Amino acid sequence: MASVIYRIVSKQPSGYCINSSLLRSSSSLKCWQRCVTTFRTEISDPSEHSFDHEGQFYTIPKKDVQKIFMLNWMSPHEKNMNKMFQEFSILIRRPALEVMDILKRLNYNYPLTRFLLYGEMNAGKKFTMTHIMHYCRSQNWVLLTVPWANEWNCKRLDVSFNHHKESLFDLPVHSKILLEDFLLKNMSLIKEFTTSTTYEFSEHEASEQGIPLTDLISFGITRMKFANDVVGALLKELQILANNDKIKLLVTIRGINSFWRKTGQKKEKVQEIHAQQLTLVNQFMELLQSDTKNAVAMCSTESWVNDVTDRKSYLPTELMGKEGVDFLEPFLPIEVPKYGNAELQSVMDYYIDRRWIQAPEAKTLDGRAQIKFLSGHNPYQLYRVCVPL
Amino acid sequence: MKAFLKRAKEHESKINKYTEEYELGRKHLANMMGIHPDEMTQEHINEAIRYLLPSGLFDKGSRPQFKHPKDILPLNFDFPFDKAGRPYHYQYYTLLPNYHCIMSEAAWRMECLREEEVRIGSTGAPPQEEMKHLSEEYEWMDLRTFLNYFKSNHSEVVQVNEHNRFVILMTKLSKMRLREQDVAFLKQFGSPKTSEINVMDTEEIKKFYVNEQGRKFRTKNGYRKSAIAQVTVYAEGEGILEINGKGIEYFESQYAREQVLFPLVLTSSLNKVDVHARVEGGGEMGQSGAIRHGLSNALLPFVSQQMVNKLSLSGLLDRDSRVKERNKPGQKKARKQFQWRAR
Repeated sequence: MASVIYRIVSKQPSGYCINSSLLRSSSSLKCWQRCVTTFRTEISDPSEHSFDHEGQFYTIPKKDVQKIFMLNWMSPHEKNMNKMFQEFSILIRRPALEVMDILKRLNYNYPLTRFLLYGEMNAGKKFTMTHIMHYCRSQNWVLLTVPWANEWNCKRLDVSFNHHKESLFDLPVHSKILLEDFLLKNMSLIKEFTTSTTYEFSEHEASEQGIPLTDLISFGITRMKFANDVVGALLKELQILANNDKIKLLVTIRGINSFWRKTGQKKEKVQEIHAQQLTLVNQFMELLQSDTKNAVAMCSTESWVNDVTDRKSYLPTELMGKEGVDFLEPFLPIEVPKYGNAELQSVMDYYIDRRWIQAPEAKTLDGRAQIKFLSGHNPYQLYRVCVPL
Repeated sequence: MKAFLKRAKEHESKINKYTEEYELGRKHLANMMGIHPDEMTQEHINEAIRYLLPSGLFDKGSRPQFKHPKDILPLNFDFPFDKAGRPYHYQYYTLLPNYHCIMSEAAWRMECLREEEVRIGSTGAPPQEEMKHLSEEYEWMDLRTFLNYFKSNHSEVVQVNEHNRFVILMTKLSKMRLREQDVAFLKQFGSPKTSEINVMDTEEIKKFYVNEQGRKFRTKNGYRKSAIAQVTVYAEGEGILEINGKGIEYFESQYAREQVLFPLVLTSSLNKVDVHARVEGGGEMGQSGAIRHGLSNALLPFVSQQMVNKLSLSGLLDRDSRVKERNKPGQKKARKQFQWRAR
């Protein structure tokens, strides 16, 4: 409890004036240290984060950034920030801490647990996901990420008919991207594992039992024609491995409410393709409804998925519709709220530290109050407000 | 000395030249107007110039004028020293005699007043009631007027340090018990504060209501283009803002949000006041302007008189009367013309 009291006392007068004499005259060294770095922690291992560290920034070490996040997960906006601030630091917030708390205490013998992150646009769902992904990577979990599920709906790359089922459509290029991403992220973890059954992709081509998983994946990458089938095979393999207690699996899907929308993909003579007619979607839905142990699924509903005119709602029932909610139940809903007052202050401290806010009037209490007002407690809006400062 | 003589001679020749030109021009003007040159007065000249060279400039000093050089330039080039070279002003060798004259006069007066107070205190009389200090009612000359005062009257170039010292000394002097002559002396260098000039001082402005929980509030309507906003301001609040049930995300653009922010920042009541608003009509910018109008009108009773004056002078309390201009016949839109054809 004592540390909490120190935190409250230190934040008010001194969070901004770092070297004031008030601080030096305070009794305990811990209080002074906390005052100086009130918005940062040195602990970069997410498994050690607890509710004490709420509202503070921690930096992700560079090699992790390169390996896990740089390629497919980070948006150009975040890559820019990484370049500017010379580091990738995340604010530790309550939803991420709650999820990590649950993950630590979870009984993994039960089937797949599903988390659903929801919140207003630009409230920070993606950053909570990055935090949790970093935690899982530090615990050596296998990460299967779908950085933006609506890509399958919107980005017009090849569409082909599925060999096995006539009503479904393949997306070879998208599945290739998925496989490449998976391989890069989890290379070191899947080296030893081998396939358990044969998979027949067509009459002539099949993969045998017992070949290493990496070979299967690279087969899918080189032969794009069968990439989608390889994805299905991979998902089944991961399920089997997880059930045998060999790996722990984290599935992250951003924008799961795109599974129940119409796509913009086109194929000759076919008029409209619904997302339920894509094999990728069906494969992931199977995975989410399966009974695998040692697996956790983290999904988020994003209002970005909808058209520009339709982005006012952010509650999952409105975004996913009845179908989606019925499909995903039971799930653990986690709300990602907008910034609270303390978080706002620490974010502004961080920006000042990184020289993102440079105008001297903006660093005063009045200036901060104005920035707080203008941003409306929204993380992205706060960033945009500070752009001209 | 020699330089002074030279300058005096140049000045004289200049004046003679200008007077000749003036006389010539006067005669021509008289001829044009049909009046005898001897009977022509300055008013006739002014009228003529206004007719011949009309100008729409706001600054009347920069409009064309036709005056005798004696009204514009000083006639006699005044030597600040006599024939022997001894300067008239006793502070001539400080390079700013007039400034130092004023400062030393003020200091001298302060000494006199101090002696008086000591005298009064020694007689054992009880101290008088607290008077209203002059510094509360008057604002001393700010930097620009100060520099201008010295430049135009005495052609002296004064620095910022000197202005600071001036302000400090005058405030010190004004806080003592002043005599009439001292008050007259000080009033030269100050202008009454805006609080004396009460721009809006009616009772209507200070009206507010008290709701059931005992909180003071005031509702006012704000208008802009075709948007109508009903704004209620609750005093003793935390900084809660509500527009049509949403927070400030109701407005998406930064400009609109800043419009709502502006009156709160001016009156420095960002976190002291709750605002609830209901807006209808217009577009985003119109609605934000309407809220601004309503907000600033609703804040008046909770704010000092000086701030009320500031608000009214800044134009926040007036309805912005700009409306979309009507389309005209023979043109495409209000100003846009049809395409010009040669034939």
